[in-house]
Amino acid sequence: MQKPNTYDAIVIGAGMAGGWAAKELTESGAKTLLLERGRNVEHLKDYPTTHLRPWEMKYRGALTAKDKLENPIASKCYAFREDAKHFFVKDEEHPYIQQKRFDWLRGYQVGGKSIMWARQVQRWSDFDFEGPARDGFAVDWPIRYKDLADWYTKVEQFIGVSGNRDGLAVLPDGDFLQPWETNCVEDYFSQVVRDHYKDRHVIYGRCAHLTESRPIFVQQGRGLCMSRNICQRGCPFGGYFNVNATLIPWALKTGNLDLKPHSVVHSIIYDEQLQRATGVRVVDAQTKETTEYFAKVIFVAAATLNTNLILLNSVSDRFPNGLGNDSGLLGQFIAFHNYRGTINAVHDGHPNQITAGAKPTSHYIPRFRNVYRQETDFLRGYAAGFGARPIRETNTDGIGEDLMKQIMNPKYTGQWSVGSHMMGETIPKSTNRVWLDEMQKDQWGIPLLNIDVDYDSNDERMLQDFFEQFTEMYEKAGFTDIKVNDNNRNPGNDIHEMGGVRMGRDPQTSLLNEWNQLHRCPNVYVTDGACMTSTSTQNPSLTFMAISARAANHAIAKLKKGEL
Amino acid sequence: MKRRTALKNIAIATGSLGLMPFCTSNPYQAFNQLPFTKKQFESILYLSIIMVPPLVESFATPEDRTAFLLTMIQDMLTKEEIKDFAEGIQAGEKLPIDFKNQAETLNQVTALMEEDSRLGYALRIIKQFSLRHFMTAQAYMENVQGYEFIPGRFEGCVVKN
Repeated sequence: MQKPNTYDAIVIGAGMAGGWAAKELTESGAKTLLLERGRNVEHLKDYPTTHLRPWEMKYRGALTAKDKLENPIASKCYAFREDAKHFFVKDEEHPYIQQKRFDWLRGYQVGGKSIMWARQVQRWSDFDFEGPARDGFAVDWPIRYKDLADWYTKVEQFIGVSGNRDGLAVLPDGDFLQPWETNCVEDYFSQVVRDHYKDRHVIYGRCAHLTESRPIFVQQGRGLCMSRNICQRGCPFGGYFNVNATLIPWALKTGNLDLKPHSVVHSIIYDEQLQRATGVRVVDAQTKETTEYFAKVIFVAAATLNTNLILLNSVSDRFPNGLGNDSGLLGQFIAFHNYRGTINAVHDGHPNQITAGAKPTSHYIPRFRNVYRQETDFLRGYAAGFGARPIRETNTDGIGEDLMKQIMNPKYTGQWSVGSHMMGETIPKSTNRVWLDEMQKDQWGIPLLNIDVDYDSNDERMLQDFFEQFTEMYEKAGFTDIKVNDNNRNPGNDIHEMGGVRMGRDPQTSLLNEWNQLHRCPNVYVTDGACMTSTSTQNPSLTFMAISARAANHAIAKLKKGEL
Repeated sequence: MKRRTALKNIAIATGSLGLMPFCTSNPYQAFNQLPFTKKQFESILYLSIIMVPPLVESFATPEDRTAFLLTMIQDMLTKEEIKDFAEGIQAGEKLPIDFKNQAETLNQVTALMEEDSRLGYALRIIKQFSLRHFMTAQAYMENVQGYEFIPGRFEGCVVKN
């Protein structure tokens, strides 16, 4: 007789990676339990600010002093504002231990951070997958681009990605919807870079927005992006991809999904006799009661650091240091993206042109450093954004009637503000790691996570190179008033933390195999950022989703064969 | 907006300050945690109105200037900042500002705003929040700044008119 609370599959985490696992599993007929530690957020119903115009918000979008005081970390995120702060974890409620300064930005709800993400979706190439082996800074990825290419396509076709087919080896093309119009300064800078550099490209930033309709989007009930640029509130049109508008309702429609919000996973249950994971222990976030759920296969996709935490907390006689952690490497080799460098300038070349309306993306400059050969004194490289907008000034000097006359006449100056920010690859190191605290626990009785992650000299050299190269490129474009800035943001503020449960071929040096199964406990799959062997320079969410879909289909095949 | 408040604001904006005392209710009651006397509340409002006239007929806002300004002071400033602000307002009370002469008051306020003092700070805060109130009025955003809630389009190269 089957135990109660038994499913074919359990998925931990209802964000992008977990959402994809749940969709694939339920579509295949697998009875699936999707556990989310936060509350439910239903598409449309739970976007309380989505229809508010600026004047309808009490603080006009700003944060109060109390918000900032109580959330010194979360309030550093660009999207943590009056209109979307309810989608972020409050610092006081979810403490962790910073061995070094680390901004851990989290979204505990169904949909996770997909509600307020930046929606940039660039594929990886083999320059990324082959990088660790070529440059010798990490273990070799057990997969290559060809292993993921079809899964990228599958994900793009479902979520909708607006982009151009640029034909670049460093940034493979996908199945794109039409791009938004570019502006004249983006076009100008793109041409300047083409004229001066063989291997540098300024292209349209591929983004997860619907710019044209397809039957699959109609089936999802989604409409076109209306370029409101307030996506972080949740979109009433479903114009950008988030999990709530797509994967969750899709999986629910199969009748095979059991979604349980408020379910804090304490640990994964390992059966010493069966030598396999058999389920998970869950603490109800509200009642604090513990319940056990059982399944043949378990997907861990709780977001990078929480996935590390769950595995570290899953101890047994067989795995006293965390599930699957024979190598002792669990929690190590955490990496992230270096967003410290920015550059801004002024462009005078298009004085009679402006833009109208809005678009949800800007331009993107794929990595050009150390791609084909090692050419600098630092490893790897960086991608960058590029944005340009006409400067419109409202003179707010003075008071009284003079002031009022001025503010009634905002004027385009004829100049454009241009800027770029770097997205640097950081090197995974054993010293960048997380571990469980032996003394302190959270309100659910789960040990707090120690986070010890920092920049290194490679990041500093890369930052300087970004300043030099972009200053040169900006000068070639004739931009003036060029200013570079090291914003000194903490690791984690990029919200691209990855690693700790890395993929690899050798169980001695990695935790996961090429299908994202724990080498030592193959009915447990890890498919979120924790699995990443290296970080590349691209925004990682698209790759998480492709990896998760691929792994889920591997599990489905194994389940059908009775091998899990 | 309440009719009485609207009338009061119009009266103030047109320089009819003598109308202010006709208020029979206490519009500051909701802000009793702020360390101001009624006279100080009125001075803050007065300064706000002369610095950034609300022009409520053309640029209506969901809440009146009093409610917005005091809400911002109460919730956007830290305890320390509120203390500094209050000290600035207190310092202002000791100055021989002629509140009956709006033009003269504007000159005095302009000069005082430049000062690196608590009073200068308080005046700059009043102006900042008053401007935010005015510049987020629907009519201002839509008609002056060209704000669109649902643009539904992007045109990258439009010839400037």
